Amino acid sequence: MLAPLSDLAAGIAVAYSPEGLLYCAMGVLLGTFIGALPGVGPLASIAMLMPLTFHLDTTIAIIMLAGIYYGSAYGGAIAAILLNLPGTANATVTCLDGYPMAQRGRAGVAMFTTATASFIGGTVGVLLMAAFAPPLARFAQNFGSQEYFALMVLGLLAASLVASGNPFRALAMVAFGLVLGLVGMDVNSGQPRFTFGFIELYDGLPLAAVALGLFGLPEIIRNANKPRHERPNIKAGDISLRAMFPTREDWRRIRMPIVRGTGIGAFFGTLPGTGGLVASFIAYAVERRTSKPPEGFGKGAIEGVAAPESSNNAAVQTAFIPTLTLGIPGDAIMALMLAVLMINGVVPGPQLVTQDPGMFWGLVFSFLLGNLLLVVLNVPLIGVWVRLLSIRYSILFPAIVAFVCIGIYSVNYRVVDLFAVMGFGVIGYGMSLLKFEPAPLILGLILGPMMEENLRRSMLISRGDFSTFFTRPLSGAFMAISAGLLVWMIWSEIRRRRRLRATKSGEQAS
Amino acid sequence: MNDAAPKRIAGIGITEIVAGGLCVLVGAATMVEALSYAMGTARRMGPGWFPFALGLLLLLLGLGIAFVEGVLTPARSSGSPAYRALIGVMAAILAFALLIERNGLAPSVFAATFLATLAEQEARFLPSVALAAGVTILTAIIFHFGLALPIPLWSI
Repeated sequence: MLAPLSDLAAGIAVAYSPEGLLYCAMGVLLGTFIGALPGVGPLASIAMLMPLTFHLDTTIAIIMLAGIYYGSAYGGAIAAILLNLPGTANATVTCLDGYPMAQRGRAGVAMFTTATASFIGGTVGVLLMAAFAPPLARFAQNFGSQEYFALMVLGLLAASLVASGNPFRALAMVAFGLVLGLVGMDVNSGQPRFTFGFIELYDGLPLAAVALGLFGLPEIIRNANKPRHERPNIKAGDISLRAMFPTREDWRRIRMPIVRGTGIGAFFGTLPGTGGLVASFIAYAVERRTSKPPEGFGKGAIEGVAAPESSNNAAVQTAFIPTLTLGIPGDAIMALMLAVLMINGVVPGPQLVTQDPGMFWGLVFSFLLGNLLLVVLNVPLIGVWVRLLSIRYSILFPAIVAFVCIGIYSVNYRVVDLFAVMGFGVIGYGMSLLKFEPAPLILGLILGPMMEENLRRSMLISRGDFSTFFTRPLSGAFMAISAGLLVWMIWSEIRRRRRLRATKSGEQAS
Repeated sequence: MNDAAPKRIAGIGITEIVAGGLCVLVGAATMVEALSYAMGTARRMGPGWFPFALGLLLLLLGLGIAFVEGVLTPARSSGSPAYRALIGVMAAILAFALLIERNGLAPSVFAATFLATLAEQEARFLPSVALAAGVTILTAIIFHFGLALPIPLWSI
């Protein structure tokens, strides 16, 4: 069957021990709270809280950190919906429809949907982790560097699709993000690139600072500039449990997006190098092409919240698979988890499941509980969150600025990061004035080094032959889909402009 | 709100000229900087290869922005830049950055919050001070006493 009963029993014993329960709950609550605070993301909070877990048993430590992780994924969505400020990078896509929903007074429903979608996505993710960890790892092992490169190309193109309207600008953002991702010391050659003498940049640009500078600050600046009556304001009216509950129509509408989102998230979470961020983008893009909500996307379509959130949480859970079974972290947070494991003398890899089944199953059962706690603890608190975040913006935003400062500073405890936030804040604001979308840039930033690494390796293997990306079946498939996306994008643009021109000439004629 | 046709220079929208121009500049600068690193060959890519390619891509995309988007779908202007808000927020972060290591958490948060309030047109002295004090207390509770971050509360 799945595993000998004794292993499962050992797992349950750990997960549902008083310690396991306590730290799981603590992690989830802390994570939600911190994730909702714009300015302090899961990366910062996990980094801040890591030292606390050093005296804990390894399994418990991972349980707590994991709770913080998916708690903050949910918390990030809260900020995204209520403030249009993604608390975490993964929640960026949720802003697109979540915030318009809040503006229409449906904040409670949006958050409830998020909780439900997250729960379903996360739980399915855990079940997949339990059932398919070995076969999934084996599938991913078939991936060579060509496949990873092609997949990243696909992911970046898909991300640009989400940035509606201006394909050239979105692609430019991707390219710029990739360049920014290369800032730092090149691992292969030891050559410092684009560091201009700053030693602090040898490890690359501080991710949290860039993300906050590009997303959070411009939003604050724009809103502070508006006269008071145009401020973002949550209609705190409908926070009763009944008003939060999605209508039957809502339930019907979110079924398939959740299914699709979970599938996409589960798939992309498994792959090292792509995680919640890519998964939520692609889920949203797929949803835009698949369902036809009456409001239209970007205007408060509930599908636009359900799909990326389930995708995100599914990916967050399945991201543990390559981390635990292959020892390959999918992103920075997984890298931190990996570090915690290794500090405690546990070597992640294929042998982890066999040699320490108690830990693996302990994590599985704890994750199941954690996702449940996420809903159980947070749904009643939705009212609190809404009330909290509907405080007058004049009071809220300076506090947010302070939290941003503390959050950024607490990642590395160096002042340079704060200057980085400033710099990227200015850049981000300039970008928004020029109608650039920052989201594809973040994606490029994160994938840059990995893309280059895979490109290099592919070229090495193929002896400089670029056709290798197309002749290998899997990689070729990804590239073909990418090409297809590109064509689709251009085609849609042409059609859109033809329509625009038609209406314009129609107006002029009449 | 913005119903006037977007302003154009030589048939190209102003926003796109600036946006595209910046991309061209950044792309070119990237290419130049990348050339100072070893290029290597296609088979053994040096540190300069990928950045150079990206810079080139960015440059071309910049041209695309200017000449394709600028001509076909120029953006409407979004009003004048929010200078005061920008300066207010930046000053806040700057103050925090300058104070945090020498003077600790409380003065930094106080200064940052106070300066941030100035981003608003309607900012006034006493409410700003009150808010700054409140936020300072709140963050002290959360981050210093609660999470026990290794930042001194204050130091002279």
